Amino acid sequence: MNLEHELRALPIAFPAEPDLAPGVLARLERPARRWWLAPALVAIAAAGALLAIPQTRAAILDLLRIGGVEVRRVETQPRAPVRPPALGREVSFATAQRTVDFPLLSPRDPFTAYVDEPMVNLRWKRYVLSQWHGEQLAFATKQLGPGSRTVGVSVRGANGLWITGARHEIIYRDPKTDEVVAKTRRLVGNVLIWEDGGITYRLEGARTVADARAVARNLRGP
Amino acid sequence: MVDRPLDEHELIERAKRGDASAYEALVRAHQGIAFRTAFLIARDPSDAEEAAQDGFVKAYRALGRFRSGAPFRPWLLQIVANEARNRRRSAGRRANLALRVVDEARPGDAVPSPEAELLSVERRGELLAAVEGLREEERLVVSCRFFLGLSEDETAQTLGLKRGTVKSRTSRALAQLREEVER
Repeated sequence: MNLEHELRALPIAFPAEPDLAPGVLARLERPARRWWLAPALVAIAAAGALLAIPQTRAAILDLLRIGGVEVRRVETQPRAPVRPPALGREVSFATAQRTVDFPLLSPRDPFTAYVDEPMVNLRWKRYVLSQWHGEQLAFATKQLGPGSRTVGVSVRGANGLWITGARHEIIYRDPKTDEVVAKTRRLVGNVLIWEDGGITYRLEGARTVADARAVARNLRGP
Repeated sequence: MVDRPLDEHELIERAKRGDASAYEALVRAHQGIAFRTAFLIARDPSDAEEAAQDGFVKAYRALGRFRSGAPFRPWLLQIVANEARNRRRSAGRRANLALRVVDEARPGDAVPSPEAELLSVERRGELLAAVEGLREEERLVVSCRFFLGLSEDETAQTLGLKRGTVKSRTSRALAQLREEVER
């Protein structure tokens, strides 16, 4: 074999090829894809009844669901006061770890841990990472205004969703009292949400999807 | 309807009219080469995946400017390569993953082609190390031509170079490789 043939025959070990089609298609069409829709239908009636906020005229245009977060697109956003995020009570990481029954992910940079049961929030630099058992907050909802955009992405090998654009609202249902609790009502900017093994992760504060995914990728895992 | 696969030209025309399923067929046909191209430039699997995905989305939006009848693959790869370059640039000084050759003993690695089996494991390592030692502009041309199997014209378009530049960089790179591995 001459050198050119040898180079052609050189078996380069490329990483496994990802299937790009779902992510590409999700960005070509309107964001709601059928495969997101099916599991959310069960939750929608209950969630609709649950939300005691003025949204009766807000038609639900489409709906997505990932992990313990249900995403609903609405024509008009309920008027909720913008308040600083309530992260819960500050604790040591070891204490935070004891409040959940799964191994927490954590950043490599110094961070502060907060517990807002059943959620653990870690804050560092401009980021906040929230982690919880998806089932515990099956009704956690996220409402998107007309200006926001969702993109399906893969995060740490799992299905994720990148939400950008207009501010969107997240309302949590307290699993103990069955009520929407004001302290957990938060308005946030860009968010990356992913679900892995029944745990839902939500990362706030990243400016771009590339930044969000890089931060997620660099988290220290179990 | 005749039951036969649509050719690429028809798929492109349909995609231009907004047919997402036609574009999906194009994505599936080209995602392998798009990802490998992005990986050779970005040297990071996640960056490569994002670059390829963004490239496909940008290509879709730019389809109106795509000249009917022109080859689609290098046009697409040029967009993907630009995305990969941008990511590599923003990754800054982060260490890049070194290329490696398939190792039969390693679980998950593909079985090498019959041609590859003619190369001893030592020879494979020696060749790859020599390629990795080239200057980046030559290494990219060699990667496109020999690792991705692109033609000279495709390599030129993908990397945004003139055909003559691809030719001269290829021969310069081959001369240096020969010196390294044929002593």
